[in-house]
Amino acid sequence: MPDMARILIVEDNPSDAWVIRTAVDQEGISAEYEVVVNGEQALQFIRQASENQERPKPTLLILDLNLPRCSGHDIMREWHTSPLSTVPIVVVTSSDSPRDREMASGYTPYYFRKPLDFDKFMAIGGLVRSVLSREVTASA
Amino acid sequence: MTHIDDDPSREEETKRLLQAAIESANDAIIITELELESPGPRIEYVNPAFTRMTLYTETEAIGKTPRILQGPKTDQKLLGHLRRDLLTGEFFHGQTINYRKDGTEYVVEWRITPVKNNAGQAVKWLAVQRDVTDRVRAEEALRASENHLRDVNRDLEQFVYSASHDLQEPIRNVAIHSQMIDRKYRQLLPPEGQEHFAFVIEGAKRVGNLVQDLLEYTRASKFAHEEPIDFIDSRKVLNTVIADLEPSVSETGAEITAGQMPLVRMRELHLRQIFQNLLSNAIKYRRKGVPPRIYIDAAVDRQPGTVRFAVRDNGIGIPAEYHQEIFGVFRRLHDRSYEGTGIGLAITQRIVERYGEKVWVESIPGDGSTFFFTTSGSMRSDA
Repeated sequence: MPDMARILIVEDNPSDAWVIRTAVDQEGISAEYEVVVNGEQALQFIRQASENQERPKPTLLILDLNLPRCSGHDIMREWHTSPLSTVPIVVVTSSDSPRDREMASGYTPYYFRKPLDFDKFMAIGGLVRSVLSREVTASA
Repeated sequence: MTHIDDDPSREEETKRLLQAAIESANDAIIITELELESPGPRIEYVNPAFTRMTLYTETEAIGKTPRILQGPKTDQKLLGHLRRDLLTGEFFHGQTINYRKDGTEYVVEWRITPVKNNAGQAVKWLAVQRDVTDRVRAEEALRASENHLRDVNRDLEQFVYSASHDLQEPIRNVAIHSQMIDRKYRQLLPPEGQEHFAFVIEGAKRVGNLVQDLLEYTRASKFAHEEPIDFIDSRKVLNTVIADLEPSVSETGAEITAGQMPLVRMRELHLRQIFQNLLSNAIKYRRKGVPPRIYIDAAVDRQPGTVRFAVRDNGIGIPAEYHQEIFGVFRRLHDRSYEGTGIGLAITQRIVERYGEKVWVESIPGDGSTFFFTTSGSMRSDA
């Protein structure tokens, strides 16, 4: 796992973003976060990453699917054709629709459904940890 | 009348009878000459029903062509077909708008057949016409109201979908943060306050589950008829569902077996949801101390091309008066010691009915239940 993870959270619900950060912190992962709250800002982030490749890339994208102005699907598509394509994505969504699952599986194996139970939601921390360590192993 | 008697007086009588029948008929009857080219075919005979329908008297009609009934909205393409059919000596049947003498419109359904002589040659045209305006208008009104209902229903579904979708997030916020507060600050509350707060958490979770289930319910039958559907192997789908249920199967000691399983024309996801709901109910509503025994099989239904599944269990059973009610949204017969919101059977019914099929239950309390549902499919020869 990297010393300091850089996590981009694309999430319009501040409460969910807060739970995600709390869960990751509780895993003892040291991370710095950038949170964007709509699809447009996420696309802008991707554009900037493409224009300025010197800029440090995030280590992980945590993405809500249902966003104002632009869907999670559009973001994943752009992400995959940008210099960020090697950065793993964890989809975190309230949707359990088979269509969303199928669509997401084209970009990432990591799909987390937001639960109503606090402990179950906190399990997102463990998932983030395992994705980060897997990525380090894979690139080592 | 193919055999007219040789006796002249009997022949007269038969003619009189036929004439009376034609004159009292409710349908307009027109006999014309054979020549189709203008000014033909000239009308040679009309019955009283013709006058009632068109307002042209017999004297006004005789010698004219039936084209006097046509007008701007008469279907010209249909007249082309009529001409083609008659020229090839075929029978014609059609429906179009015609015009009465006073210019008012009516919808006519009519058929024309050639009248042949003894040598089998066509000598006249016989047209039978019926004013079907009322029927056509009623059909149009029915179609319009059907379409309207469909639109309203779709809007309503969309509304429920959007509402339940948008409610998810605030409900989750309440549920998650109330649990968080409970974790961190429970000690700050007096026992009574802790009790109240436990109800808040419980309530938020419950609303959340209801909303999630409502969302699933509205989504359940979407896409049912949008694309052509291939045959799928119901045994494979069943095996996937049984594997998914493994935790509750081993916890309860349930035994799930299957007999003949057909190929069915259904989306895999839908069949999976049906099996999932029926099997998990069969496990959930088990008799105390009796491990669930569940048997699934299928047979050819009375309706051709249709199979009927049966999911039989040895559970607590359902009293007859609830056999319909259990399929209602959020209907539950039991207290909260049985988990769930009561959406499973409603979803099952919704899916099955969207395929135009049926689901029902037969059960005797204390003696298990059998849920049946039909679907388009076929029993395999190798099964």
